[in-house]
Amino acid sequence: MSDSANTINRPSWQPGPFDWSALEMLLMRAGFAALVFYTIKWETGAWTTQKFPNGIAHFLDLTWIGQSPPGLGLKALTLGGLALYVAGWLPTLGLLPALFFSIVIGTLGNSQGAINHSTQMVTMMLLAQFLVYLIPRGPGVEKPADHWTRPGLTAQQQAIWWSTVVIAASYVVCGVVKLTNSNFMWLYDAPYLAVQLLKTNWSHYHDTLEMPPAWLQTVTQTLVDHPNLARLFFGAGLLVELLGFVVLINRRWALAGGLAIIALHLSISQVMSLNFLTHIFATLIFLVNVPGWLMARRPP
Amino acid sequence: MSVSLPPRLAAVWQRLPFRAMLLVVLFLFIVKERYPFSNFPMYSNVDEEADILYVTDQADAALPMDAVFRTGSGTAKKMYKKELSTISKSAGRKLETATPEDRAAAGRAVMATIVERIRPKAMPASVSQLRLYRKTFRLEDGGLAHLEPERLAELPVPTP
Repeated sequence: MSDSANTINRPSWQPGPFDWSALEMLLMRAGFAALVFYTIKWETGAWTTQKFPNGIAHFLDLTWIGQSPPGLGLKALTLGGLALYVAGWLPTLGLLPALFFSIVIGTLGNSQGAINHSTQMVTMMLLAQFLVYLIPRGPGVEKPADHWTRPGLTAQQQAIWWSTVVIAASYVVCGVVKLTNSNFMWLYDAPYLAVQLLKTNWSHYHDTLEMPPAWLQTVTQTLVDHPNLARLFFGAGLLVELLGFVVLINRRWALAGGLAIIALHLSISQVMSLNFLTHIFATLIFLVNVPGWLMARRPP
Repeated sequence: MSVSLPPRLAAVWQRLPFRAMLLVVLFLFIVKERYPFSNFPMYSNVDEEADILYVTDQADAALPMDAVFRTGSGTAKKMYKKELSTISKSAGRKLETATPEDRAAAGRAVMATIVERIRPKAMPASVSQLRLYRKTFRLEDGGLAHLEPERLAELPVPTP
């Protein structure tokens, strides 16, 4: 499997879009469209106020969508738009309903006094793709009219590329914030995360009344008893976040980095009962890219 | 329309490693939590103490918060912190020095929000009172201590 001439001619520290094929990108768009639709929290009925406004809720009243949750018609409109996007026709128009509901519903949900981080990354990827399709830019991109109706290979590669940039940036900034918010003491303080393990597992118990597995108690106590083991365990996660940029270098790095990110989420899911399924699926679609690797193995 | 940078700035920009990503990282770092943007600060401040919120019935038996209140314990805790921060700030106090009265007021505000979300079908028929508790875990003397839960609010189950 090769990378595009565009990428090969650049130094690894100044990467650009990979040589994703039209079929590969069609499958990526299909996977992403399904992920976007799944990520939107359509059941908005519980959010009838915005007591602690976030984002655009500071200057717009979004409670109307809590009082009248989107029905079948609006969901069908969103699906229709996503189908256009997958087909590569009128993607700006096609992504508009999904982007609108992602931002409005996500903002209202996060204006209830509790910020949840499960949907931001996918919504930012959606916004990034929307902007690429809206603003024709760069060599090899068609004239605006053609770009808006049926963007070519270069524009599609840019849209996918900016999605991977958003993934990489999300993990890197998450790692950087851990360092800055803790005055660079995060790794030293990592043994305290054992208390967070205990907290999230009891929190999960009160969500579902399902007792956490007995081995978790052992793991938590082991991390308390061996602070350096805790630093090693949580430090590995911090490293995956801070090195998130490597997924932009080439396909192999994207695969390796993507698998590391998925391993990070699966381990968090096991020990803290915090599931980031949307992040796992976004990583699978754009970084691990199984169809791309299978196509590369197919004999010519 | 195209925007062009001054030549020296353009040269620096061209030499920056992973520049598109760096730009997004910088943007997210500055913008912080403004949906859909986020700097993903989860677990960036670690402490020897952590607490949870949960709801019980009149006999202190826990209720499954996801099913009954459509609000998980973690979400309720974040709402409580936000309420407590507002209440203590308006009283000229810091979050860390909030009084039991501040905590009870924040607890009542959280309770008022989550009872609005009750799924009547998921509420066991035997439940007549709802109690909101805060439980703290602390790392001390090489062990994990479970502190005595603090009752923040209590109210009867609202009639549908």
